[in-house]
Amino acid sequence: MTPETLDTLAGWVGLVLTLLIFSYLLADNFLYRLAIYLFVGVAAGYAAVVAVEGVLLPWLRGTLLAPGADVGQVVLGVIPLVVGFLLLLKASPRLSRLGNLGMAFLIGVGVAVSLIGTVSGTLLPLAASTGSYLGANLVDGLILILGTITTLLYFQYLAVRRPDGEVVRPPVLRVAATIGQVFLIIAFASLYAGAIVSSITVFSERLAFLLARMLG
Amino acid sequence: MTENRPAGKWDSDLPDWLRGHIHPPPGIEEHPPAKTGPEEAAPVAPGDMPRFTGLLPWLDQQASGAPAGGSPFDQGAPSPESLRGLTGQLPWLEDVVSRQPSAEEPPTDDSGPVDLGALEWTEPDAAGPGASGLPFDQDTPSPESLRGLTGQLPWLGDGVSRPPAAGQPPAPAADLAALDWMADVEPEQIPLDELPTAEWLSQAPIPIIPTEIEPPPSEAPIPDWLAAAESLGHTEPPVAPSAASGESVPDWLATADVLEQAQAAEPPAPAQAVPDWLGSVDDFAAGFAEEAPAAGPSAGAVPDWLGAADEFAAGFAQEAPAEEVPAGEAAPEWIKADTGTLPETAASDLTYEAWMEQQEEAQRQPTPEELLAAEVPDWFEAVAAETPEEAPAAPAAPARSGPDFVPDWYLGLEEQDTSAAPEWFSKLDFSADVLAAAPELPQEAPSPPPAPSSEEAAFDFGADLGATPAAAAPTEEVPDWFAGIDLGAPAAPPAPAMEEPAFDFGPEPGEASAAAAPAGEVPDWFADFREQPEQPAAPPPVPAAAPLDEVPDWLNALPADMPARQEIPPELFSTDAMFAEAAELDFMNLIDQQLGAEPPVSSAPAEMMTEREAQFDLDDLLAELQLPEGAPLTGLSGMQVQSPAAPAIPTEAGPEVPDWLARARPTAEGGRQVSAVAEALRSPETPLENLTERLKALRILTGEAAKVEPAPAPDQPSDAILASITGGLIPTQVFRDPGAPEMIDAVRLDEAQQARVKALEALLGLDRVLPQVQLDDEGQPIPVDERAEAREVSRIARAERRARARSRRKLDRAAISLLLLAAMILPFFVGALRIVEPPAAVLDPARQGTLDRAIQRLGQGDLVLVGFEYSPTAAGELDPLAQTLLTHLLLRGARPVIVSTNPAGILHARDVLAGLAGDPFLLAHRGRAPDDPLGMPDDYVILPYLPGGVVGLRALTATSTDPHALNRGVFAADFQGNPTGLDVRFMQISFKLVLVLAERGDDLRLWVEQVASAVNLPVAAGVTAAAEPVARPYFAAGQLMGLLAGYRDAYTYDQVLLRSLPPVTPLPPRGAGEAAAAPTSTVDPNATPLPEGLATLTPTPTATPTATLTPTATPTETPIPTDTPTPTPLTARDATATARAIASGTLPPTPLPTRQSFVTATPMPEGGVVGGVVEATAQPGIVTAERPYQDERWYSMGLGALTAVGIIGLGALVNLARGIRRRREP
Repeated sequence: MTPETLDTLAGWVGLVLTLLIFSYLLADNFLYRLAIYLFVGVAAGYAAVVAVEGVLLPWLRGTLLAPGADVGQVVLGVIPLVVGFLLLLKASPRLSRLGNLGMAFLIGVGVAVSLIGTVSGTLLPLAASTGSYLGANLVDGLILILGTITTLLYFQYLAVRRPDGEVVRPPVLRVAATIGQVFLIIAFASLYAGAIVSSITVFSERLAFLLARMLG
Repeated sequence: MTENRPAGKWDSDLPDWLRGHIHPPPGIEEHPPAKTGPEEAAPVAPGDMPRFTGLLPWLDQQASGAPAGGSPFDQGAPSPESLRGLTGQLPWLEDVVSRQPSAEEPPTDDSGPVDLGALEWTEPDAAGPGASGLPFDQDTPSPESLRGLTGQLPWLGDGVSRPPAAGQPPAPAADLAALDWMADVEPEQIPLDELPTAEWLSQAPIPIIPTEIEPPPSEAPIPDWLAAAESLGHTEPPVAPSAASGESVPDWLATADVLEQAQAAEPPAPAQAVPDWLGSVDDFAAGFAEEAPAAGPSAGAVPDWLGAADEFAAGFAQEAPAEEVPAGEAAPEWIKADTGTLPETAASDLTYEAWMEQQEEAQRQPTPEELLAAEVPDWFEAVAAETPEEAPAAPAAPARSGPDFVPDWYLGLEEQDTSAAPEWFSKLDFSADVLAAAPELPQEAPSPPPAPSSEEAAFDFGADLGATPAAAAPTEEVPDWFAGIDLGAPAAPPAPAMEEPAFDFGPEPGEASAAAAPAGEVPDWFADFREQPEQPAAPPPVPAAAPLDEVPDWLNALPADMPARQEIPPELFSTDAMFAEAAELDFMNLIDQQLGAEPPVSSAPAEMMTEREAQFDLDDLLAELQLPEGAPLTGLSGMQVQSPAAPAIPTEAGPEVPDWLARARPTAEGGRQVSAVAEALRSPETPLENLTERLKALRILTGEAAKVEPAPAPDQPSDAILASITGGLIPTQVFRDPGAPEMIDAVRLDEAQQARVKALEALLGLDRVLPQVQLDDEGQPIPVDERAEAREVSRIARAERRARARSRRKLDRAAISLLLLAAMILPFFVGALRIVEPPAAVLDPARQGTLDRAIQRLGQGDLVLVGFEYSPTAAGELDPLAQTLLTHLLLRGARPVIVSTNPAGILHARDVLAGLAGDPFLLAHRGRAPDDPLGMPDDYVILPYLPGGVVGLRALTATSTDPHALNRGVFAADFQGNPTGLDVRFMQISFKLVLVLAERGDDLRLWVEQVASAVNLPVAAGVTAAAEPVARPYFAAGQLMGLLAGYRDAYTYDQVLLRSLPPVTPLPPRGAGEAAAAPTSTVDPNATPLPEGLATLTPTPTATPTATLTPTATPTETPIPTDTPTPTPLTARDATATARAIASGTLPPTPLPTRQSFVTATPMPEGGVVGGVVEATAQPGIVTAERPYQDERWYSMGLGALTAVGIIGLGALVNLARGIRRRREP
């Protein structure tokens, strides 16, 4: 079987699967679920193969199985395997406590790295950018600052208790929260619009694929 | 009630019933001043212990001078002294206890209440051994130690006068005067200032109880009632030590002597004044005592209402044995009759072994029968045993006839030193009417602990009370309310009645047998305790009514036909007798006995039943409730109720119904009855002949419930219960025929209930069409075809499933989907629907121009890190963008290095780059032959999957290809494992640009945070339209130098890129030989020479278009059939050998569907064509990357977006209208 034949066959299989997915427009059915299961299974299988072929085996070849590997290299190669094995123990109710060590290492390192990046890559630069808008364009800057502050205040429930026992938010806070709610609505609306456009784009690409496959 | 002494000033505040029974000590005539401090209280002499300790034989023993040093926890017998201190603190005793006269004073006839002021209270001797205050010392605890313990009881407080040292007379309590009613009590034996007050009562320590209880002198008067109580369970009448000592002890307290007497088995003291009310307790105890009390009820003056207590005890009392309390441990003298002094000595007759047996018996878990017997108050036993005539006059130790119950907390009290008791307590006069005369307290040191039997008998009030009535104390000392109790000797004269009691129970409505009890002095409720004869007793004659002010009102309200008071045999209150009888007790036998079904198992249970119980007949009760036959059923509201017809019930079960549910289904023979009652009805019933008579009566009664007549009208008196009461509740027939489920009223179901019923029917299969049970002519059910039924059921089930499937299809979703589908497909074919024009090929200078310029600055071989962070799910949107950008990079000669944290991203990146690698346009511009595609690692590199997510990205920036470095990263080899040859020591040096193609905003954020902030490199991003809002802030913040989003930017960038590229002709394939000959066109040389400047080509239909250029006078378009899709340069050549171009033109792209091109040849300025063949050569141009349906997609997307906006807007309007309508609706 030549590559061209495989390409042709893959094209037709893609066509059929695309039509199976489109059958969901009518109702949930077995064919749709078949296509979904096939996609999930193939993706999971491929990920597993990639993990083994692209991560584990190269690591073993470079550490434990490396020719002339010294003790340090071996130890260096065993440590991730041990931690990974401990993570596998989480599946056992009796031995799950042993997996807490690996989980702790994983979570600790991830949190540390994420924290550094969040602070230096998002918080500080975006805060500086928000402030710099005032100098560039006063109106835009004021709107930007107003939207940022009111959106943050929307998520703050700073209520006080009245003498009669009723818990209410101060009027100023209520007004600010309402403005922030408006900005939130606009933000969510833009996200929703982008999602719709992306969906339509993907759908048009599928249509073009079908037409090209069927009409030549 | 007999007034023993005129009401003086001192007793003006006393309650009526107590007045006259409390006698101040001799010498005390006025109200004693209030005293505070326990130190001022005079200890009670041993002989001054109140008479009430006569109830505690061991206490009497102590009073009589039992040796001290014993504790209830010793192996030896506990001394009454140790217990007396607690009993001396009993508040209720304090109310009626009169002070004991001192030992020097002769006992008086007045068997009044014990004077607590005469009690001798002592404090523990700290210097003495075992005097640590805890009775748990290993050493033999002394009474003092016990005293300290009990003295620490909060309610006792510390105010009690400290008992003096051993041998010293205890100082009397000084604060008794604080008690109002006790304030005027004149202690007979202690001075007023030494009387204890209420304050000391709350703070008093344990009064010392003499360990030695002197046997009450024979001459000590004992109230009749108490004497009678003492006679219960004893063979000898109780001894009244108080009578011998001349002190008066409250009658009721005098009965305590009976307990001691029973155990001590000493001859009872002469009859003392035992109140009548207490005397009737003989009857109550008669059923438990081994021996019948000898004496009759106490002849003491008891209230009329209490005189009826004989009737109450009639069912339990036995004939009071006319015998004295057996000699045994005598009750403390101070608790015995009238002298108020305790006997000096009270020897115990029990040996150690006997005591141990009693201890074991006491610790044994009582049987139910014993528990029943234990419910009998001990004081009843004492009252029943003691008779007024036989009330011990002397503080003799009461006889005990058996083991008695001794509460644990009483144990050890006999160890209390009598000298520790307050003086007023010892001087209390127990010869008043209420209590028998208290025995004289012993003067010497407490005696050794008595026998164990004395402890148990100490609380065997019943034993004492069940003593022979002949030993009753003088009736003049018995309170009215107690005087009426018949203790087994109905004929005995009543005990000296006390004066008006503190609470007036009113006149006694009825009396027990008048011959038995003092007229009208025994309450009816107390009379019920008496033994009832087996045969239904006739309504006893109403005895002479007692003065109304002497009988409690509630007793007056009792019906006059109360059962007669009966004797309570003293054996009834004997512990042994109780044990024995209780074991044979069988309530069921009792009931059956009453019903006349079986003879009683033993005489004791029958004897225990009161007359009231004997009269109780369940059958009679049922008969009373039974309505006449033929009467319709009535509901609770009195309305006529018709039993609803039993509904029909299907008899077949469904195929899939559980077993338990199937059983609930109807059967072929039954009607439609799906209920627990129906199930119960189907269960086999016990045959009638196997039922007891009682159940038979119930069965018959319930079976006839439907035939009863209606309840009588409210104004019609009923001869049922409460007949004499008008306006009461009308008896209502409550029994129903359990044969068929009936309802009181019609069933009304609401919608929810109806729904539940339907659901249940559906569950049971009742709602399905099932063939009803068919009956033939003979009434037999016709067999049903089960297979047919199963088929029918399955058919129905399939229909239901189809209906459910149909309900899942949503038409609105289908309609919207079809509309959208049409809007996006039609623009591919219908030009009229291409309403949205493609964007202009102009780049945004801020977002796109910078990227373009950045790429343009790249040189040959520059490394560009490309993050392929999308999978095939977003390929439809990001593939055009990726292809455009990568093409631009490759056209510039840069080397993209592909990396991804998504395993599917690496796979898709390989596919994208594989397509670009063989693109002729790209190859042509790269100067490569078509058969020389791009490849790794020279042209691009695809690195392996980057694991770890954010951590992997962070590690990427720190990797190095240094073989000696630990962080040799992913740059060493590609995803296939081949070496890349990349020497990446520092990313900011090795790479020139970072390009991120992200499907989601989070992917872009990770790259910006981990890579852009870590390396000083320009970063550009290509994202989807959905991720654009997340990427915009980063671009605005300057962290991204370029941003392309969605298909729009991809289309624009591509158009600009392609137009900016110079036309590049493709190179011929390598190894394919010479280049293909250019298409030529020939010109007929014999043709008319072309005029200068004009030529006409005559095309020939070939792939390489040739045409014959025919010179014409005017330029003429010559159609040239060709398949060239792009503009192709056309050259007209001269057919001469020189083949020079004489005309040039551009062959336009072949339009559809004609596939013809027209070219206008323009003669070259060099000269005209003389003749020859003009060849039109179609030169192949730059073939850009294939972009099939690029414009069509844009048209389709445009119309689809407009359609989606219209659908969403329409839905929002509909929802808005619905919301407004919902708000307007009420």
